[in-house]
Parts: sequence; C-alpha cells; structure tokens
Amino acid sequence: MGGGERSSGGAGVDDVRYQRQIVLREVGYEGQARIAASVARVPVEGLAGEVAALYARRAGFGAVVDAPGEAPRAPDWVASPAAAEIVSGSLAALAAFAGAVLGGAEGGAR
Amino acid sequence: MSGRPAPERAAPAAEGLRVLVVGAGGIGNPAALALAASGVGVLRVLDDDLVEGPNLHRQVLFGERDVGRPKAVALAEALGARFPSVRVEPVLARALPETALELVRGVDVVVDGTDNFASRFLLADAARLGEVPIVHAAAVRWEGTCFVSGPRGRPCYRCLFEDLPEGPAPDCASAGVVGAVCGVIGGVAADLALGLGAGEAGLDGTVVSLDGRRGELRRIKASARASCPLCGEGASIQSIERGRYTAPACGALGRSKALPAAARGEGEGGGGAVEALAAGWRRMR
Repeated sequence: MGGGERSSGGAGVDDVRYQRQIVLREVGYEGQARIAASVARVPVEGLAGEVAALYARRAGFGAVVDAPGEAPRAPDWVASPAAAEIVSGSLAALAAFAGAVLGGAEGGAR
Repeated sequence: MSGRPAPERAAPAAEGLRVLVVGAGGIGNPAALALAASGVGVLRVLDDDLVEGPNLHRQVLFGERDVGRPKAVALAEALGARFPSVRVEPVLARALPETALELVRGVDVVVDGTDNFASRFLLADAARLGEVPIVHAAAVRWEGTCFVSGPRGRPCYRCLFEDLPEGPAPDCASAGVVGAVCGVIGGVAADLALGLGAGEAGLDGTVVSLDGRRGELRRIKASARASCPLCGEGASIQSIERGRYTAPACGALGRSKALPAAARGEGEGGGGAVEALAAGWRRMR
C-alpha cells in the first residue's frame, strides 16, 4: 500500500489513512468526518505540546489550536520528565479525540 | 508541564542505559521518543516491517516520505537526527526463538511493543531466562496496558497468561486503535523501562491500564503465581523451544500461524494481548 494511494469512503473520508480509526465502533465514517470538521484545542509548546499536536493532526482534525495550560497532567508516578511530557501530550490529544467523537459525558481526560 | 507536582518516584538515570525496543510501531514510536529524549546510551530498535499508510495516524514519527521504508530505519533516522548523543541502532529483524535470548542479553531492559502473543511469550520467556527486565505494552481500540516483569522475572507474563490462547485474537487492524492511546502507553512503558534499567525497586508486577474514553490511567500490582510454568515452583520452561511459540497470526495481512511469520505485523502491541492482560489482572484483584 503506497503512501500516495488514497481512497475515499463515506463522507469524503480518506479511508486508507484513517482506517484504524474508522473501524472503531464509535468513529466510523461519520465520526471521522466530525473529527475533520473539529478543532483540536491542545497545548503546542514543549515536548508535550509537540506530541499533542502530532497525534491531533494525525487523527485528522481540521485544525489544531494552541490552548496553553490545558494539558492533562501525567500521573505523579510517572517519574521520567520526558515520559511525563509524552504521556501528558498524548492525554491532551486523546481528550480532544474523545471530545470530538464521544462528546459529553465520556469525552475528556481527567 | 509547569505546575506538575514532584513525581512520587525519583527521575531514573538514563545515562549509559542500553534499551531494546521490540516493534517500531504504535507503541515503539512514543516509547523510543521518550527513551531518546531521556538520554539513554543505546536504543536498539527491532522491526522488520515496512511503514504503510494506515500506520501514520498513530506512528507519528513517520511521515508520508517513509511509506515503504523499513520502520526500524525510519525511526532510527528520526531519533538519531534529533538526539545525536543517543546511539540508535535499527535492527531489521524480528525476535525468533533462535535469537531472542541473545537479543535480550545484549541490553539492560526490554520494551515489548510487539503485536502478537507468540512474540510476547517468546520475549517474556527470553527475558526471564536471560534475567533481563521487560515491560510489555499493548493498545487496542480505546484501551492500553503495560505490565512490568523485573530482572528476577517474578511475576512474569506467564503468571497472567499461562500460554498462548487458542483461536484468533482481536488486533488493531481489525479492532482499530486510537492513535493517542498508543502515545500514552508508549510513554508509560518508557518510564517503567527507565526505572527498571536504573535498578529501581518495587516496579515488579506493576500493571498500568488506560481507559482512553475517560482519559484515566490506573496502576495496580499483580502477584506471582506459584504454579507458573516460567517462574513458579518447579518451573517447566528452562529453555527457548521453537514449538512453544505457535499462535494465530495478527492483522489483516495474512500471516501464517507460527513464528517467524506470526511475529510480523504492525507493532502496536496486539489487541488480543491488551484484552487478555486486562482480563488477567482483573482475575488477580
């Protein structure tokens, strides 16, 4: 499967790039289109921000906007500063993803 | 990260540490990034797979330009350019019964980011027999899990799962996975590996699970099983024997049912593994 190959499924979604998300029951083509129409608000500074923005962009968000100070903290049992940044940034992207896909009660990091 | 309270564990020293990351996929990407950013001495990345388009949503250190290239090489290049003080060694191979012991004995700690039970059991057995600590990490759908087996190997992976399951297990190709779940679990796995590599006590048996829908990480301790065939009393597994590592293949790519082919895949940690791991530790609670 080459990187240049693209096919479009329902709602004009790139179903090659996003197939591992589209197969999720909560996502599907409609959810992927909703992600594409959404803005991910995540911190973009530092390693945590870099990671958050990377996962948000790769998930297919229409835009990624800096939201300083909104990164969920890594648990305090994560000792390595670099690992904590990556956990924090990933949790921020995960919260944005859950918010776009699940909405309300379940969509968010705590 | 400003305002983060002091961690309950001291930051582990990474200098000079030799780490083997098995699987350069969804788990391997963030784990390797965290390990390199922490300043480990040697980062050996083992994978014989190629980057594919559907990998990119979660294997975020790869770009479109990497599609068709070996994952281990692409990952080593991405990290080597950014962290020149870290020796990043790509190994275009998979863990095999004939090589697993040598692979694990060459490092201080192993991160298992493979995608199938056969490879997981092989690495678990090799790590125990080689007395090398290992972190098993897996992600599928909205969930992820890490499990720590220390240098003395108790509890071990076989304390939770006695042997390879029969029948197919869900994997991220068929079940899907949220990319950022891999990021969280990869980061946690790297943190635990750094602690193990630094000789930190008290990590053995640690199980970390992520509920990605709620963004919740939980940590518990698993106990060793007296009847475990790998680390229990009168353990029956004393060597690596090829016939022990036969399992259903992972993914939609048409793998065969035995290693080495079963070891191929996409490296995000095997959905069947994470589900079984979760079930295993629930039974032990």
